[in-house]
Amino acid sequence: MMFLPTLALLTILQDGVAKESGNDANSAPTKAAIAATGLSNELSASGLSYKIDFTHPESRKQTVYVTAKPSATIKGLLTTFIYTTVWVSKEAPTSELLLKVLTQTKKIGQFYVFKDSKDVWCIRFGANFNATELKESSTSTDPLVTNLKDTIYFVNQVGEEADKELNGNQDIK
Amino acid sequence: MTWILLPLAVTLTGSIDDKFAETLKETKVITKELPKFYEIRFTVDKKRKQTAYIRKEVFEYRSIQVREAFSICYDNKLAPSPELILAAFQKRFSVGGLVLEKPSDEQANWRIRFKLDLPIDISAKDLRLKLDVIATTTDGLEAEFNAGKDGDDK
Repeated sequence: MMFLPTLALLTILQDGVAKESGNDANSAPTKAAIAATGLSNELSASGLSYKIDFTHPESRKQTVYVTAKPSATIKGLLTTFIYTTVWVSKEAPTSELLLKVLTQTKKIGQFYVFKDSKDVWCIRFGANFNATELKESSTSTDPLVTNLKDTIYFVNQVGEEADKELNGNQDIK
Repeated sequence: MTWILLPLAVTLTGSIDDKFAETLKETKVITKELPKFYEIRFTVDKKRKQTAYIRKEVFEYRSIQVREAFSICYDNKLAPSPELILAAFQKRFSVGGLVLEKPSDEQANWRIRFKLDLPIDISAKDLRLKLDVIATTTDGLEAEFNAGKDGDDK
């Protein structure tokens, strides 16, 4: 049986918006890795994330964000968060909606609720990417770059499917 | 309940995934093998107990190959209140996140689990770190969601 002190490790628990603006580490490796994926991207208006737009059938759009700077967790572990929005409202999501979305299990990542600084409620889907081993420069053949690209694709795919299911003809990016 | 030391568990799991079993052995955690999971018990702060699970099934998507590791932080016949669900799922974590489970044929309770995705080629060092994260994070969530009670302490 393992005995663990909680004090240090519980610092990993985070509330609110902080982790979408990770500011704990060098952003150059993430920037290089995203460039190496070959995916067209731009820095978001806030400068906190790289924004990647995808187009789906019926001209539907989905935007995936990759946090620009990885978050330092513990013992040198750096994580980048990749996420997309699947539902937006000025009203908090109903219990029925939460049950419908939050009970869905995906191969990687999970859904969560987010309320922004303008009191707009969102449901998002996101997944962590282990950025610890990313280098200052990357090439498209680096396994980590492939893994990053595939994680972005997965978040995009789940996001679009959930958007369609939850919003029908209304397309949430 | 019988707990077996890891070397025996590794012997039992050898045919399923030798490499992962070897990695698990290197972490020096005590593991019990279940049909679909590896089960790992922790004691947090020498008194609170927490059980983590690693799903044997590998999830694949393109180059991604991961196993889910998780622990339960809410386990009750009563559904969590809407307020609890809204508060819980606004929490953000540096790694991992929450999934809500409805009662099903396989389990009778409502559950919230804290999960991480483990790459199949994870190193022993990272695996141990992530298991520690699961145990301590879930223990904190469990205390919060259950008014301080240790749901794992039978």
